[in-house]
This record gives sequence, structure tokens and C-alpha cells, in this order.
Amino acid sequence: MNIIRLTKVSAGAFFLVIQVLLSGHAQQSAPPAGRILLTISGEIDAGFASDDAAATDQEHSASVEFDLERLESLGVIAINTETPWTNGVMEFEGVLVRDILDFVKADGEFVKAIALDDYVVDIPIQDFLEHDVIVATRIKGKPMKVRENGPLWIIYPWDDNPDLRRPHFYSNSIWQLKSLMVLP
Amino acid sequence: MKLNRGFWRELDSLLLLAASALAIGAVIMLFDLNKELEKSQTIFNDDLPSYSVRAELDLAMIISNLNKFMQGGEAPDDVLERYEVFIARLHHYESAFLTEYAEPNPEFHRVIERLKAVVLDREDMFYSLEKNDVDVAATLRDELVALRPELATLSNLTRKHQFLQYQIIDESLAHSVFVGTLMLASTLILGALTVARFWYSLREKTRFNEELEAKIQARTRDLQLSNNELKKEMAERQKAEKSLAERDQQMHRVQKMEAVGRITAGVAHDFNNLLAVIMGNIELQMTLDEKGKSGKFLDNAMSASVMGSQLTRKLLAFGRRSPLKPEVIDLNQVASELDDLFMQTISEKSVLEMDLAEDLRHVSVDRSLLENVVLNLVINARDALPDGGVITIKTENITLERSSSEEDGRLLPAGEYVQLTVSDTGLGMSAEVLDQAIEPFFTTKSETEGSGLGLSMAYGFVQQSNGQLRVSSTLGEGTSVSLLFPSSNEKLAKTQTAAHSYDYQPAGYARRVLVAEDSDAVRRTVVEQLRLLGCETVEAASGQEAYELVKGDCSIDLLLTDVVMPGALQGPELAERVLKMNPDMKIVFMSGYPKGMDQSVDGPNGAFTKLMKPISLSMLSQTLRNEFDDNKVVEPA
Repeated sequence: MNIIRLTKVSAGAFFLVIQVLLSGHAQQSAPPAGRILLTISGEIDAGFASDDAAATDQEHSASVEFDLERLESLGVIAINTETPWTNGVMEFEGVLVRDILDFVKADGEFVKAIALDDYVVDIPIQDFLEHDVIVATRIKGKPMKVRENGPLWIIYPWDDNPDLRRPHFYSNSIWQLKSLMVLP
Repeated sequence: MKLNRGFWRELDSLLLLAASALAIGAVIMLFDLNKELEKSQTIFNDDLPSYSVRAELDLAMIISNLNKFMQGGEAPDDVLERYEVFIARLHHYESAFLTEYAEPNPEFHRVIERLKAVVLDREDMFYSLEKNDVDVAATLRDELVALRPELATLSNLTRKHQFLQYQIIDESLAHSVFVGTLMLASTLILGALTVARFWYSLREKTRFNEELEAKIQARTRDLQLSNNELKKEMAERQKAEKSLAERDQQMHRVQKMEAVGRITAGVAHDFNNLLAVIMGNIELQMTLDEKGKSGKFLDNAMSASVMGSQLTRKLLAFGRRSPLKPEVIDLNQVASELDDLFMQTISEKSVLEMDLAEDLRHVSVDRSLLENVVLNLVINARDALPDGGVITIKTENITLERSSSEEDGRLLPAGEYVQLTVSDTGLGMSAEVLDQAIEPFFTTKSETEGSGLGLSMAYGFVQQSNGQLRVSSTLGEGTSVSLLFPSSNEKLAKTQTAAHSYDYQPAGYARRVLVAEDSDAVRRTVVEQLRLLGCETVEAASGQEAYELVKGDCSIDLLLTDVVMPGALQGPELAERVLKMNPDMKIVFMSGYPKGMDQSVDGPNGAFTKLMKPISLSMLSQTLRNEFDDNKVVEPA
């Protein structure tokens, strides 16, 4: 199991490096074409997205927007786990949060996560470094609808690490995620 | 209160039980608390009230978006997004956290299901919503507004439910606090009890140890005491055995002395009778053959007889058979009078010291025998000082506080005594010699120098005088001989210087004398002596014969009788009978045993005259004179 995970992680990292190298220019020149799923703002370096209109105006409101394609381009891994809100082991696919934060060069302690239903939670970035927490984009291989807690859902690997099965982490597991704000 | 061992054992097991119960209680409480904690954790986030609040908010947001849409501000997508969120919310109640609360509450389930049914029923209308389609939007808005009271009901339900849950937790916590307090109190009490118990047992142990120690000490002390007692007893026993052995030895010596004394006295007595015969006959011969050729021979025979008589006296003295004539005398006086004689006796190299006590008490003893004894002692002292030395004659008053056992077992009663000691600084005697010193004829001197009767005589004399002889001697340092006499309260007797003479005066009066004596020789001698003195004589060989003669012859003036005779009638009884018949009869005893006479010869007329065999003519003459002339009793011997 660990070996598989390790393989997945390293494969993901490798894929990420390739992606970053290959798509460095493309990111700057090609803003997301699809529907915007995630907006990241706060203590990040949004300079690399100079062509992004939303990011150009003010340093403070600098943000990076992701559609599904751009998000998944950061590298997708799968987590098979049970959740209190689903029946049975579910296969979640998504991007490691730390990869996303690396991508936007986040520099902070907390992430304020905001959902479509206005649910707000502050998550320590330490969580993402210690655990393979993903922003799930798919369930059973398909993109999630809003009524299925989609389109994005922060999933902790509960089955891999039973220590995570606590209210604190459950409350961090925000669904219908629409934006992240990196706090110092 | 004395508590037995069983009580403590019970208390201990009780304490143990209580501790176990407390431990079990604590485990149960912790278990319960843990369960409560889990319960409280599950309601942390997705609790029912927040769920219903969020659901209300979702509903409100759809309504608000619909209103904005109707005013032309909101895109249909935003309305749809909110619609989707609300549907998602309505699905969420099936999540693990909520079902737990929702399932046992059918009302909750029913409300949600109805809401879900209504909202899903309008799905097509929402998705077919076009811009400016205000009527549809209004219809949808009104329908959704109508759902709000239902959601409010849900909120109330869940709040009630939640309140119940909190109450349960609260009660549980309160219960836990109560139980915890109880347990704390119990623990404290139990701890105190345990400490007390431990302290008590420690104290008990200490006390027990102390008691044990005290007991051991007491036992040790007892043992030491008994040990000491045992030692003492052993020492006493040893002493007793030793003294018994000494006593045995003493008894043996005393018995020996007794036996020797008896033999000596017996021999001396018989020998005395023989001497009486010899002396009497010599005297007769001397009377008949006056100035004859044989006069010188007779004189020699007479002096030898006298010496023999003296010897028998010494022997009798030792055998305590001396005819004593005690008189009250002052020992100092006797010693002083003999001083010249002593000086002549001792050698020139020696010094005689007189240490005479003042206020010396008087004694009642036979003077001549005492003089003899003292002289003998001085002679012994002289002989013990061949190279000169000091001879001391010491007199002193002695008071015996307690009765002392004498050597022969006779008791020397407590009282006043006078002691005369002759001591020398001479050769001394060894213990063996000292042991035998008193035995007659025991002497360390050559045969020609002494008879070995000096101390024997002294011993017999002192014993007969109710006194005690003490001889102590250390080889090389000297000898000390003490004569101890009971003191007498009587006044001094007139000094009688008895004139010893062989002269006799023929009385010229013809008295008739009956001589009762079993020994023919003695009787004949006495009869001859009486005839010389001018008396007529009648002879009897026994008491009975004498008695017959007295009965048949009333002219008899004096009965001269032996004390001990063969036959039933002895001297004293004879005298008694004769006196009954003729109270005027004069009676004179003669005997070889002066002591025996002392006891039995006192008649109704007082003491009788006693003559000691052998009887000299002069003594017989004087006696007759005393009896007939003065008719007074001669002082008893």
C-alpha cells in the first residue's frame, strides 16, 4: 500500500515537475478557458500569471483561478476512503493541496477555505504538509455535481491514517469548495 | 480495648476490598467518561441545530436569489447553484453523524423527506428558468417561502433534541463529578485508613518488639538471679560439706579424746586404788618401824608412791575425773604469786611478760590444779624457746555474745568469761602436731624431759571447770594456749594455805568406824590407818553387809563407805538407809571417781565429806577430827 502510494506520489511529483517545466509559458499565456472552479488569493505570488486580468490590478487582490483542466494539470492522485457523508469506500481523485499551494507560491500559515454554501473554515497549512490531503475533483472517476458536494471537496486520507478520524479534520473537510485564501 | 488478630485480618481484607472497589469504580467511570467524550465529539460539527440552521440559510439564499432574479439582477446559474446546494443539504442528513440522531426521530425524517420531495419536484422548473421568466420565479419563490415554517419546525425539533443531548451530557458530567467526588473522598478515607493501619501495625510491631525485649530482659534477669542463687546454694553446700567434714573430723577427734579419757581415767582409778594400798602399807610400816633400818627405803617407796599418785591425778585430770575443790579466785593474783616460780622456771634468755587486765572478773576453779596447769604451760613455753624469746601471760575479760559450740559438741553458753593466755614466740607446732597436742603422753620432747600430760591435764581441767581450752599455733611463730573460765560473781575466798603434812595426832578417843569397801586391800589399809588413829573398826565387803552390821550394832559412830560397790546397795543408798535408822551417824565417802560422787552423794543433811582415794593418813586424821570434834561439815569438794 505504502509502496503504491509512494509510487503515486513520486509519479505525481515527477509529473508535476514535467508539467511545470513544459507549461511555464503556457500558464502565463493561456488563462483557463473552462468554468472557474477555484480561486486562490492572499499570500501568494500571482506575478507569474501576468496575463491574467484579474491578477494584474492590485497586489492585494491578486488571485489565481483554476478551471478543472488547469487544476488537474497539477497532478492527480487517488484516495480510496470512507467518509461520514458517503456510503462505503469511495475513490476520490484530485490534486494534493500542497502542490496547489506550491504552484501559487503560497507563503502563509493558514488557508481560509470558503464553500458555495458560505461555509468557511481555517485550515493550518501544516495539515497539507503532513498528510496527503487532496482537493478532490472526481468521485468514481467522474466530476462531482454540486448536489454531490462538488465540484471540489477537500479529502483527508482517513482510511490510510485513522488518527485523522476526528471532528477537527472532519470539519476541515470542506465540500463545494470555491476559493482558498492563504493567510499569514 | 484489646483487638485480636482476626479483627486486623478482617480490617486488612476490608481495606483491600475497598481499594479494589475504588479501582474498579475508577475504571468504570473513566470508561463512561470516554463514551461521553465520544458522544460529545460526534455532535461537534454536523450537529442537528447547525444543520437545520444551514438548511434555513440555504432556503433563504434561494429565495433571495429568486427575488434578485425577478428584479433582473441575478443570472439563472446562480439560482441553480443555490438550488443544488440546498438539495445537497437535504441529502446530508443521511450522513453518519446525523442519521444517528435523525433515525430514532421519525418526525425529523418525515420533514426532511417531504422537503426533499417538494424541492426535487421543482427541479425541472428551476432548470427551465429563463431570463425574465418572472412568473415562474415568483411561483417558485412562494412555494419555497411556504416551506420555511416546516424548516423552522425542524430547527425546533433539533434544538430540543440537542438540548436533551447536552442535558444528558451535563447530567452525565454532574454524575461523574459526583462519583468522582465520592471516589476522591473514599480514596482519601481509604488512604487515611491505610496509613493509620500501617502506622498502627508499625507501632504494634515496635511495641511487640519492646515487649519482647523487656520479656527477654526479665527472663535473663530471672535466669541470672536463679543462677546466682544456684551459685550461692552450691557455695553453701560446699561450705556445709566442708564444715560437715570438719565436724566429722572434730567428732572423730572428740570421740577419740573421750575414749582415751575414759581408758585413762579407768586405769588411773584402778591404779590409784593400788597406790592407796601401797601408800597405806608404807605409812603403816613407817609407823611401826620408826627410825628403823628400812626407814630410808620406806621414804623412797613413799615418795615414789606420791609421784605415782600425782601421775594418776594428772591422768584423772585429763579424764575429767579430778576431785576439784573450786574456790573463787583472782587469776591476776594467782599469776602474780607464781611470778617468782615462773622466773625460776624459764631460761635466762627468755623474757616473761605479764599482761594482766584490770578489773578482771573472778573465777571459781580449783586453785592448786590451776597453778599446776599454768606452770605446765609456762614450762611448755620455755621448752619452745630454746634460743630465748618472749613468754607472755595475759589475762582478760571476755564476753561471748553468742553460744559457741565447743570442740566436743558441748555448748559454751553466752556470758561473761575470764581468759588466761600463755603465749610464746617460739617454734610453734605444725597442724598435725597441733591436732595431737592434747592427747595424753603425746610429746615432742625427749622421754626424759616430759610426760606428755601437760596439755592433756589442762584440757581435762578446763573442761571440768566448765571452761574451754584454746590452742593456736603457727609453725615458726609461736604457740598460744588460752584457758577460758566462766566468771564468778562470788567474793574472793580466804586464801587457804593448806599445810600438807604427814603428821597426825593420835586422837585418843575410841570411836567405832564401819568401813564398807569391796576391795579387800583398800579396806584393810583403811582399817589399819583408822586403827592407827585409835579407832575401833568394823569391816564390810558390800553395802548390804554394811547395812546389816549397822542394824545389829548401834555403837557405830561413823560409816566410811566406798561409793561404788558390788551388790544392790551402793554407797549413797546405804548412807540414806543408815541415816534413817540413826540420824546421828557420821558418814564419809571415799571414792576413786570424785565426779561420780558429786552427783549422788548429797544427803538430807547436806553434803557429806568425801575422801579421794588414795587416802593419806593425815587427811583421814583431819577428816575424823572435823567429823567428831566440831561436828561441822567440811567444805564440799
